[in-house]
Amino acid sequence: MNYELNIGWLYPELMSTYGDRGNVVVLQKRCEWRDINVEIVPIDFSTTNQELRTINLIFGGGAQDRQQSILIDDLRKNKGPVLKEMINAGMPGLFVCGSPQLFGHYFIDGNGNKLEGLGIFDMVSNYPEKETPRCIGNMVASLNFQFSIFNFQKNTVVGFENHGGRTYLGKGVKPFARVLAGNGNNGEDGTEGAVYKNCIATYSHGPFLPKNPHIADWLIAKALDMKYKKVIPLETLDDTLEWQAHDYMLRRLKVY
Amino acid sequence: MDIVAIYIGYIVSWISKAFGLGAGATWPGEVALRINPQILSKLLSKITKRIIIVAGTNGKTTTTLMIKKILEDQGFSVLHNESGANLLNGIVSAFFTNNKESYDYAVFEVDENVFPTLLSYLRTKNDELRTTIVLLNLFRDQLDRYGEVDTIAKNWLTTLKKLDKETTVLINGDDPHLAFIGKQLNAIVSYFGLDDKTQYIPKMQHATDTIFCPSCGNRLTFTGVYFSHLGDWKCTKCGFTHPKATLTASHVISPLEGVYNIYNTLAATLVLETMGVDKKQIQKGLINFMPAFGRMEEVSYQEKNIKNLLSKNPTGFNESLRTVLSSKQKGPMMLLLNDRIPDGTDVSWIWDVDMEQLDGYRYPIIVSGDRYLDMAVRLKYGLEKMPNDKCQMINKSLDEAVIQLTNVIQKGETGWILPTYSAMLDVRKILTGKSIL
Repeated sequence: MNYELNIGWLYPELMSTYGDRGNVVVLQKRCEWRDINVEIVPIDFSTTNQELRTINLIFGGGAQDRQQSILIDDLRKNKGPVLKEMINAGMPGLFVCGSPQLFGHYFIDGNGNKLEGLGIFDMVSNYPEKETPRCIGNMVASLNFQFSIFNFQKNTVVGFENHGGRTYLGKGVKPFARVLAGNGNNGEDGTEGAVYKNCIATYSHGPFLPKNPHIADWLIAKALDMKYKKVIPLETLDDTLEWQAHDYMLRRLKVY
Repeated sequence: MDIVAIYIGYIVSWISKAFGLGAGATWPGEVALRINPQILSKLLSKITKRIIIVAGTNGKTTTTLMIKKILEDQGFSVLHNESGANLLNGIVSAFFTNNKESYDYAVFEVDENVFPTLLSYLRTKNDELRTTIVLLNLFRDQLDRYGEVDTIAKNWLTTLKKLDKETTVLINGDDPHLAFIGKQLNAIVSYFGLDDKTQYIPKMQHATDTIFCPSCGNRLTFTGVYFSHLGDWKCTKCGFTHPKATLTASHVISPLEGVYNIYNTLAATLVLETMGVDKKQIQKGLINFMPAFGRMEEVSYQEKNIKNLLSKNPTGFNESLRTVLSSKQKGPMMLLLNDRIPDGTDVSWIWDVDMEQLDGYRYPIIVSGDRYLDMAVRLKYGLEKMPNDKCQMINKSLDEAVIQLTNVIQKGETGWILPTYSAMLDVRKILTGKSIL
């Protein structure tokens, strides 16, 4: 039987700041290499809720302030309620860079303006004092063992963070990982990202999945499980190159 | 203090040259600026005719060099900052490299973030009177250093608005964001643009930054796109439209391959024409133009022909690929990815490059540089066929990668090197046996 997945991409023209599409490319290719048919569904202003409901896996990238202000109304009013329902029902998703801020309760920007989020993730974000530097640089974190993809061979994630905002988690989410090198959510409590149901939020921006193929496969497996209501084992791929790139960053940041 | 700063600048410049320290492009200026942060205002009074400032993400070095060469052909003395040394310290250093009382012209390429600061030094009305400013383009580039395109555009607009109507500002009208800036200025604004339907690309590239109206936020309508978000655009909602261009592609012949070089040629030509340089003289200068290092520069190494195309951001990389694929010169390719400070420490941008263009490339592709593994992963996911050893080689050592490249260039072929900035300096050192900066 040929499996099929619809991968939704939130506002690809507006929420794509710096290499974000790498995540979509990786999900698509890793499905295709396993003969899983994939359709990439751009979710933008013209997308109806009916179309939205055909999505099996969702991805959101980062938006610049101006772009964010263009889409925020549509996201909140038209897409938000349905997305919340789907995520609560177990649809897997990945939100990188700035999009997690939109999925929390609220975000207070650098000028003190409060932006209401979708409230799907139990977390809040704000901007520290003006002089506080942005969190910029390579980052390594170890996966939270409460999180079901924890496995003893590959329990790290690597990424590049570039954010001014700081995020604080509530009880309704689990941290995605623990920071080993870098800042993560706020540079204070050691948490990095958040997991709610089957959705992952991370402050890694841009192409997060290319060097974290285990996370890509976890998302794909979850999407298949949810759609076909059974566990579908994923064919193993040759990820030598991906892990070399992953391990290079561990060595460089002297994590191992 | 002025005198002290200036003398120390000369001394540092002399020391770096005498001892071959290779830091003469930035250090003299850095030291002079530390002694007197206002030193530039003083130094700028050495320019007697006009100061030309070139800003933009891509094309600064080539455009600056074209203007400089052609002005020198006319017998003028021209001061310019060395390529890459485009922060304030590089601009100040330019004054110390030779000890002249005055210059007819200064041609500066300036970093996107430093541009507003440089303009603030041109405070007096007299200075503005003698200034021509060129805005080439604004693309995503080194997000970790520059921040977002919108932030840069906002800073530019704030500073440029302060210029009075004696200043000349020449703008690429194919870039909607720059046209939006131009609309709001008091200065004398002229535009250049391609206006050539034969150069339209069949479909929009992924790496675009301004496809929504900078004025009202509605989606822009493009009749055609030249690359990234440069094209013939208009906003159907608020009516903001492409400004009429004074100079278009049919009036110039670019001396270098690549659509982006047509823009550079247009910008340089418009600068020179508005200053009254004879059209025939401009044309003559362009025909004899030799590219800046690493920008379509051709070198012969161990009897193999090699071309260097600096490729440091998504739009630049896409245009390099387009140039290689459409060139009559065919051959192996080497991609060099570094993540040092001058390259930007974040290599995420390679995922915005349309590597898929390389699918089915018939010649070997070699990958090297500090982040060669990231580039190799990008290619793996970009090309339809899984790469194998025959068509792709990855090598951590640049020296070995260069040997591999020269080995696979067959007779009659050209090897193409697409490096990031610091990789370009490194590879050029291997190929020519000397360092530049």
